Amino acid sequence: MKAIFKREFRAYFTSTIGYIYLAAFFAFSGFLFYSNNIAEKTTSMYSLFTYLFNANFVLVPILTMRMYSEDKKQKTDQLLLTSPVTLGGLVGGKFLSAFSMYMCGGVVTLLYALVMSGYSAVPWGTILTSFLGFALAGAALIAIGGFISALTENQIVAVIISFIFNFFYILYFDTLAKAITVTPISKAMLGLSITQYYANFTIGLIDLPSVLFMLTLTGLFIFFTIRIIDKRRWS
Amino acid sequence: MIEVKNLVKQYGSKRAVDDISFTINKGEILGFLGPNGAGKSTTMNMITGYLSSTSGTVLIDGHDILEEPLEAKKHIGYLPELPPLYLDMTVKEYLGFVYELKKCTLPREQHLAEICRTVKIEHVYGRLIKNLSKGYKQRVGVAGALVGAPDVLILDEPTVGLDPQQIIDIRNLIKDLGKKHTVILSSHILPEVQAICERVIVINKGKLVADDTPDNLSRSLAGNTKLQARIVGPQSEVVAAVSAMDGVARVLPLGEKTDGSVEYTIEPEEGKDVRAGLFDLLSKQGWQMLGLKGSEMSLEDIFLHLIQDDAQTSKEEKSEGKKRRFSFGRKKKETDGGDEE
Repeated sequence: MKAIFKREFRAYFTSTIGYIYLAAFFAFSGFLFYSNNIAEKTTSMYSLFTYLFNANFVLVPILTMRMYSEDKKQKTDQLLLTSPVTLGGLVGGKFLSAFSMYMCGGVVTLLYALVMSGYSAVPWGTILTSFLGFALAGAALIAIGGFISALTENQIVAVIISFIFNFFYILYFDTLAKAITVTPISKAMLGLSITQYYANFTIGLIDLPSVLFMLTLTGLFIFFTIRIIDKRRWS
Repeated sequence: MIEVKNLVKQYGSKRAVDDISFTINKGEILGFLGPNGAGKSTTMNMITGYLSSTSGTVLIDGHDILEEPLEAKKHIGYLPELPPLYLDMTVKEYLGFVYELKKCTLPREQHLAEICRTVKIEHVYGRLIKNLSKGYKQRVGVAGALVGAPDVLILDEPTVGLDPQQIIDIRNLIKDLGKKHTVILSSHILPEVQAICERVIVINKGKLVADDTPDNLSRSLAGNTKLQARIVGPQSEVVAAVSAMDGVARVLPLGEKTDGSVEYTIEPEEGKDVRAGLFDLLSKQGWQMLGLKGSEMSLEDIFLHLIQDDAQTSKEEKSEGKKRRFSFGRKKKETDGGDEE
């Protein structure tokens, strides 16, 4: 797993994907920092974290589109699957490399808070909680993106499916849930909505259901990814 | 070392690999032959664990590739048809990655340097794989398979894309490796297989068609190979005398040559070697033999013989099947006639 993590992480920087992701992320977060904190003259990062998470719908697929589709296309999966590495190790290594990239970008939010603390008291508790939520939610989205990448050999298809999925899941799921008049379905959907649980973190609340939801979603999609790679070997 | 038992791979209604079994002992160099689409690569992929078999088992040094994949894969070095190279890495980074992936415990710098020396890629060690020529990419692929000094080397067309000198080098390398490792070599270059391999397996349409040493195969199939002789002497008398010889089935004159001799094709009877008898006969008659050739089948001949044999048998089976259906129809009519009466 370590070997795969090292290789994948380095690959983000030898190809341009890593730089593009970081540039996009810094651009978004920088803009949000300016418009929400500097222009509004507030130390509350609530808006920043909320909008930044929404931006993930387009940013995370950039990280995950090549995760498995590239290997399948270049046939390097033949090296990985004939080496003494478990599927768990393989998927884990790739997941961690994408997550590390994600956090490389995410850390900049703490930097903004640090800069603000030079001028005023900053609500560190809420900010660190939001950051935790951002990390956990990002992990879930990366796991989902990885699964989508494992479904196809073509990275363009992977990125488009990820965009569409994220678009509905992050941006419109809640609206959809509330629009449905059948109460049990509406409630069930809200129970599965990632933005609902993420919202808790942004207001400084760390509660067990939210943390569990994020971890479960991450674990579930990592499991699905392992199964789909395994399935390919059998058919 | 490697035991393959009743290996089957089914894709829907098609059997790509149909009940293949063989055993390879430690230190053997085995040649894997077969026409395109025969199932060689599929079999190799199943042995290395890239694909899972529909049924059957593969044991590498006693470890089942599906039950104990980590243990089994540690013993294997695999070079697939298309070397699995990361184009965005340098040769050094790639070999380092393979080293870590295989959880190799040998001293890293030394081991990798030795492999590079063996495969002669030292001067491209720092180059991006994307920028290498096909031949060098192939060499890096071979190097990757050698990392970790695995007990078993499975090489799918290792000399493809190499220049003639390198082909000789790699062949010598495989021969050397064969002394300490078990090697499975799949190739379309039959002279290469004949030169390197002690044993040959021929696969056709997913089935094992032959499993023997090249010499044994040649002997068992060359039973009625024709001889071509150039004899100086009166044509009709030569034909009569040689035809009358014990063990000769047929003599066919092919035509006069510029040196005054006539070329003949002599067909011996099944399993008979008439060369010595022919020499005695001709010297007794005073007819000079200026040339005699063709008795051993080259691997190419064996291969084509086996493949065509197979095609012939399946054609016969198909036509037999049609005949059967026809006669079945006839029988039905007869019984109907009987009942009516």
